[in-house]
Amino acid sequence: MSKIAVSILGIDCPGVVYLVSGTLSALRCNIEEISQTILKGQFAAIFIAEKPDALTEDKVHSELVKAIDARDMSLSVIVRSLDEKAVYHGEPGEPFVITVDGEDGLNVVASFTRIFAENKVNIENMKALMPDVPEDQPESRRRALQVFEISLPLSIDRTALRRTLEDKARDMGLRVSMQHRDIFEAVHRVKSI
Amino acid sequence: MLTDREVLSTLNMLRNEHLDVRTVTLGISLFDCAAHDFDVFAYKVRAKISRYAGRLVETCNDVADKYGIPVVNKRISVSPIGVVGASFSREEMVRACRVLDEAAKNAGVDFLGGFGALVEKGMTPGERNLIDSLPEALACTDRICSSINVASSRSGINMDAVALMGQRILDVAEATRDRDGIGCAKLVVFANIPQDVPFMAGAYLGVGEPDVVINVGVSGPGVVKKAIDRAMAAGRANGGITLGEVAEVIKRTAYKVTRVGEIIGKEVADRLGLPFGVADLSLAPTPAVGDSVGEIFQSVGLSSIGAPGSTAVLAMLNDAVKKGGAFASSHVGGLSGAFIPVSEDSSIEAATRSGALSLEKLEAMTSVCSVGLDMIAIPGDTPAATISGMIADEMAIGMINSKTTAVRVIPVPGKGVGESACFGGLLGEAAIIPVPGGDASSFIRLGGRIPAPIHSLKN
Repeated sequence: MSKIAVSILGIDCPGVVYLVSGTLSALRCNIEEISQTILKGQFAAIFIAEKPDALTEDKVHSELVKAIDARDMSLSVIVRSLDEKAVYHGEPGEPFVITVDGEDGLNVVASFTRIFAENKVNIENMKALMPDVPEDQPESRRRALQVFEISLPLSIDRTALRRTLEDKARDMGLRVSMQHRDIFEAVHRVKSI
Repeated sequence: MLTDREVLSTLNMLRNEHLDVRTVTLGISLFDCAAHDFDVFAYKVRAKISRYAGRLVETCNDVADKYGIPVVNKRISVSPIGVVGASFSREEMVRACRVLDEAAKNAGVDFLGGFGALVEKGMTPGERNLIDSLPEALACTDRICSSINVASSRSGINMDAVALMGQRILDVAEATRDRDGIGCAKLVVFANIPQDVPFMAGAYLGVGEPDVVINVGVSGPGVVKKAIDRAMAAGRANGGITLGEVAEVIKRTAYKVTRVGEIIGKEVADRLGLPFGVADLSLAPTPAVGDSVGEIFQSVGLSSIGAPGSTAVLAMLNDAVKKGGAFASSHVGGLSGAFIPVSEDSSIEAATRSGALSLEKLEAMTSVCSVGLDMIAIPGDTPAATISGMIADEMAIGMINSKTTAVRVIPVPGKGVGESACFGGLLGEAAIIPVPGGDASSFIRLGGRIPAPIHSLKN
């Protein structure tokens, strides 16, 4: 048995997950893990499944496309074989949360992710939000908040990285924060510290 | 994976609501430094404080940086010097105070507490010498705080000590006349002082405590106020909110604030290889707008702190803070409750200045809060017996209700009602307010001890 990664992207509607899981099941693929999200009505998911050795990725792809067309859904499919040895293993790190907020601009995400890339900091989760404007600060400008959950390699100097991020934020008229992830869990969740 | 709400709410508490850890206090026992020879004592004290406190500030700053939460003050508390230096003369007590001040400066901490005595039942010659040394000791040092425990629920009130402290408070004020009597801001008289307070000026390390320990004082009145404001606004939109719901909001917020103290305190203790003692769950204000306990009273609908209803609000606030904090921390201790230090809280200070809050109302409120008459500027010509009478009243509240109470008043030399005293920094500034009239001198002169209360037949 080998593994495949199936990625689906397209317009969300009831039945999407059933379509994929039903097709995989009919092909005797065993789904092991799923991650899924919806953004502005767009559905995106990754399915990790075990497949019979005789089954090719192309066959899985064509069966999924056939099923999508039969139901007239608007979805794109990618099927890849999964080589667990080829997965990126960065050096051990600590989980930090970095936020960048301020006036929305063209190159905000690119500017900060470039710093991460240059420092071999892996982003494990990220989100860009448009928080509600507080009532007492009426502003017409669009404000955006980017939240990056990163793994900070132990070899990276945290203070130096913070300084680099703060310098960049200052240049762009933005605010940046960098905090160990545990503080968010400690404050909001009932678990032992 | 964190939720948006978790990230946004934490950011908001930090940026707009003054969330911080008010103090990480390193407790160091000095009992093993006791010596007949003063120089041996001084050598041992310097060595022990520098051994344990050498990395305190740097460690706190790095942990603060890691979590993005400021640790505003790093402090040291030591064993009561009245016991450690039991054999010292008055002059040696002054020298001991200088040695501690120097050690505090070398460690880079802003205050060191413990230059004090426990005299609720009686006084040793050493403790008497310490109390007599206070005017000179507090005037010639910058970072030393003193607490004198003169009463307890088990021992009663030592009225000889109360009488003595009334006079010494005036003497300390006079000795620091050029700075509006600031020495008195570093001197507190207590009933039922806890052994593990991390907050100044009451911090000291009690006799039952470990050799070295990390205690943490959390704060966060601004966070509580904003949480109440949000709940009230939501309540207005949805047909009202009751005080039961407000208490729940305070409780949940106290939980969050305390968790911050707990995680930071534990990590500092771990890194220094020391035990973590307690988190003191107190709402400790600063003079900054938005970091005030007094503003919370306005948030729940009073015109200002001091208006009728203030004692009830404070009782609810104090209790809800304890309930939320107790679940958030593995070990709770210290004072744990709401502080109402007048000069350190811009809103409380404004209420005393406008006359909305009087000394009498403050005294009533201390029967339900965690400390007492705190950072109150009074006229410099207040008689010693009046100050002693105020102390006796406050001690009685603590003794009978089995709670901590304290008096930290500053008789400002050469100034009277309507004028202001300015202490600077976290100590803030205060309008001088009138003290109760009448004469307590004959009563105070009687001395002796007020017996401990009966611990049954509670009513």
